[in-house]
Amino acid sequence: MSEVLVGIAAVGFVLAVLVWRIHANRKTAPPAPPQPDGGERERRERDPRRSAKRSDGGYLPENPTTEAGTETEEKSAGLARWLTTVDHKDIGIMYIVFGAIAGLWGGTDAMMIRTELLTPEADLWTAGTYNALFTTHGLTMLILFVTPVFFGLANYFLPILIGADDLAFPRLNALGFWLLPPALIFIRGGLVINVFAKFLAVWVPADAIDFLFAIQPPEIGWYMYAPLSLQSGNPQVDFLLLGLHLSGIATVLASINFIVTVFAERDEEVSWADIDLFTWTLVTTAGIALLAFSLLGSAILMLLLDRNFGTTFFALEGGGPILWQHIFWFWGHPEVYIIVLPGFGLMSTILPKFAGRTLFGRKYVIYSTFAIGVLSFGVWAHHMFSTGIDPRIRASFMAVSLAIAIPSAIKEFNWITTIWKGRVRLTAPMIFCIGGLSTFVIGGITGVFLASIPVDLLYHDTYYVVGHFHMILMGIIPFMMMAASYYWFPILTERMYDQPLARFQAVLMVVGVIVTFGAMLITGALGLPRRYASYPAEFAPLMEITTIGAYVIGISVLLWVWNMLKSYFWGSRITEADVWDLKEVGQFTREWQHFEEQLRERYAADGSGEQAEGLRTSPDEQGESNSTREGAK
Amino acid sequence: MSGDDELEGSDEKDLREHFAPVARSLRRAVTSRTIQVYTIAFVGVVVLAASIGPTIVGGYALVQEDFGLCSDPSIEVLSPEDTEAVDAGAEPPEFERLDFAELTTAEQRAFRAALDETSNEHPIEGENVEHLAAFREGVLVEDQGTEHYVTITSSNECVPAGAVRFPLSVAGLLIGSGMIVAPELQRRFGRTGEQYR
Repeated sequence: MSEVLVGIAAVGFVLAVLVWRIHANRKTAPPAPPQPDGGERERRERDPRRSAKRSDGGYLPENPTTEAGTETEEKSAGLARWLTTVDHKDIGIMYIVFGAIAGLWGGTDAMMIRTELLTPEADLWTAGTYNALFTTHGLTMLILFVTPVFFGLANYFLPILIGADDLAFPRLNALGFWLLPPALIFIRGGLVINVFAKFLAVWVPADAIDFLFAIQPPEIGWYMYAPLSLQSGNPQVDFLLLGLHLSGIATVLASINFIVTVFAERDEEVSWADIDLFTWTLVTTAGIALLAFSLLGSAILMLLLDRNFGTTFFALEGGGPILWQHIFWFWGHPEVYIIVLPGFGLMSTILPKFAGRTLFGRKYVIYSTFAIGVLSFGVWAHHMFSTGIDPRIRASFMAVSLAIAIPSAIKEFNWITTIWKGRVRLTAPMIFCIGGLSTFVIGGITGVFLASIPVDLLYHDTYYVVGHFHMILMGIIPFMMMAASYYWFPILTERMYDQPLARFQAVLMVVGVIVTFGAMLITGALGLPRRYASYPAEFAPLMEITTIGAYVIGISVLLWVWNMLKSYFWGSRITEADVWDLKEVGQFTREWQHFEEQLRERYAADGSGEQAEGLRTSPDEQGESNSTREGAK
Repeated sequence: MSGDDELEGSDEKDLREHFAPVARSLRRAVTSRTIQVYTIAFVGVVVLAASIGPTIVGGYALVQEDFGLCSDPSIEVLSPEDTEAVDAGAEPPEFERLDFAELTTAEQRAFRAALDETSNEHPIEGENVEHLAAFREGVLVEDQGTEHYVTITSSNECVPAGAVRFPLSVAGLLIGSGMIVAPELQRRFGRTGEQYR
């Protein structure tokens, strides 16, 4: 009876809120649309070029009874702005902040893993906690950190880089973002619920909240292999699968948006030949994600059905556990490229700016991106060389896995050649680029060895594999994210970051990564298997070196966070757009032009005519005009 | 090195001239205030990083037994159905078999508690753990006519406490942090601050 009353009260409350909102909207509705007397709306309709090109943007029809029509003039203020925004820049920032928080959480997992491995015995955390840590570390980093941060940068900069007003479907964009916080809660909720239950048990009898204690962090690995994932009685595994499904839907929505935006919303001045490298990689990434994540969604549903409804897709008596591995890696390997391609794009964007030369072999860098996109779907079984699959199938996958190194090597060659005889400026973004090039060489070459079946059989499931992929991922993903955060910091905040601290942080990060994952490569080459909380004592010195390297990375990340926060609040204000002297090298690209325009409007609106005039001077004259800019160098 | 390989006269002079710019820039780098500051801070970070782990492990070693955080190994007890799956196949593994009555009181308590838990796991609380080796290998325990597979899920061993590890690592933390912030503090508050601003 009480449940019925609560239900009726809840429905009543929701209806009351709806009625109040409609009433409030009517009272605060904007004035009626301007009459056809030359107003903005009419002008758009008269201009066939603009009206034909302009998408409806997912907006509701213009209607004075709603506040969501295109006539809405101003954003809401405060929290309401962030909860209701469909502006690509706002959503981009929310994606970046969300991804950064998730990254710090996943990084904490990594630090906890490395702390456990300081001693040979599993004596700091339990073996179960260790299993949960490497499960959630992998999932958090891949799903909740990397993609959101890159999609955040894409949200903010892609429309600017192609001259679009916004993404093609702004509301879909907001929906895609808002699916991520619940996904995070579902995926990582086990730990939170467990801790919450322990606190609650102080006041409530433990028997009454027994169901909360049943929810534990999942211990099945980020790859969720059957039959372990089928047999685990932990209900959190089901929540984890639902969370992954939500994040997959979010990724598909964002991918559709990026593809449509680039195809349909480009400015007329931006031809396919003019599109920048970051956008090219984003389009390719979105294409891969569209195919890969749709498949992951189906696989997750099948696993959920197996766990809860007695189907046998991946059970021994049905499709078998190996089927899960095939489907998982058919998503899993393209996922690797989904997360690194935007990093490649950032490298191709940022590196030439500080090398003083345009990108060498631009066309081939773009072709190699496509080649990676296509080949990424033909290499999945190299994760399964040791499962006993048909040797003929293994050989074909070995060939494709070796072949996919070629487009990656083309990129590496072009980046190095761009630096060659360039006028290199060792800013923090450039240190990250050079560091990324170095670790990518080590990670790439060790990967070529792994693609060979006999070597893979020897090193499979050892620390060698962990060292290999972290060398690649760390050098291309966090390095490029941090490089982008410094490079575009003036555009994002209109302030300059602490440059000496940034350079120091960049060097620390590069050294930390090389020490940590270099030691892991050696540990793996000596044969130590991964994913165990304990290990033979003779590996202790190497493990200690790895952990010290990991802490250096951790300190470096904290320095980055500090620099971002400090500079956001107290950094020197930017008053001139060309902070990197890009006009001198002819690389003052669209996002910087947009920023310059923004600054000009800002200072003109402030009535600071002198400054606005200063911004209109030639690049050479501008060079000497501003002390902030000098400080920025 | 043989006598033929040694450089004399004009050869040595040529070599010196050739590497003079390198030597100059090296000297400049070593004496550069900026490089010195970066180096001190870098060494500080390395000292700090090397001290964090021992501080955590050393600190934990001091308090773990007081808070009951170690020494009770956890066991997992499978249901009869899952036990059948473990013991199935053309060549089922050879497990040791025990009767429930053979278990010690603490082991029996943990066995029953694990069967009641959703996770099927429970720590063996108490000193009396006779069959640890058997549990580690995996064992079939017969209870009221049904067999349950029992194995250790976590040994929960205690961290060996080193007498000097914790104080030494705390000192490392302080020294490392000091080296990181020292150049900045000197720049802000030191008498020579103005010279290299």
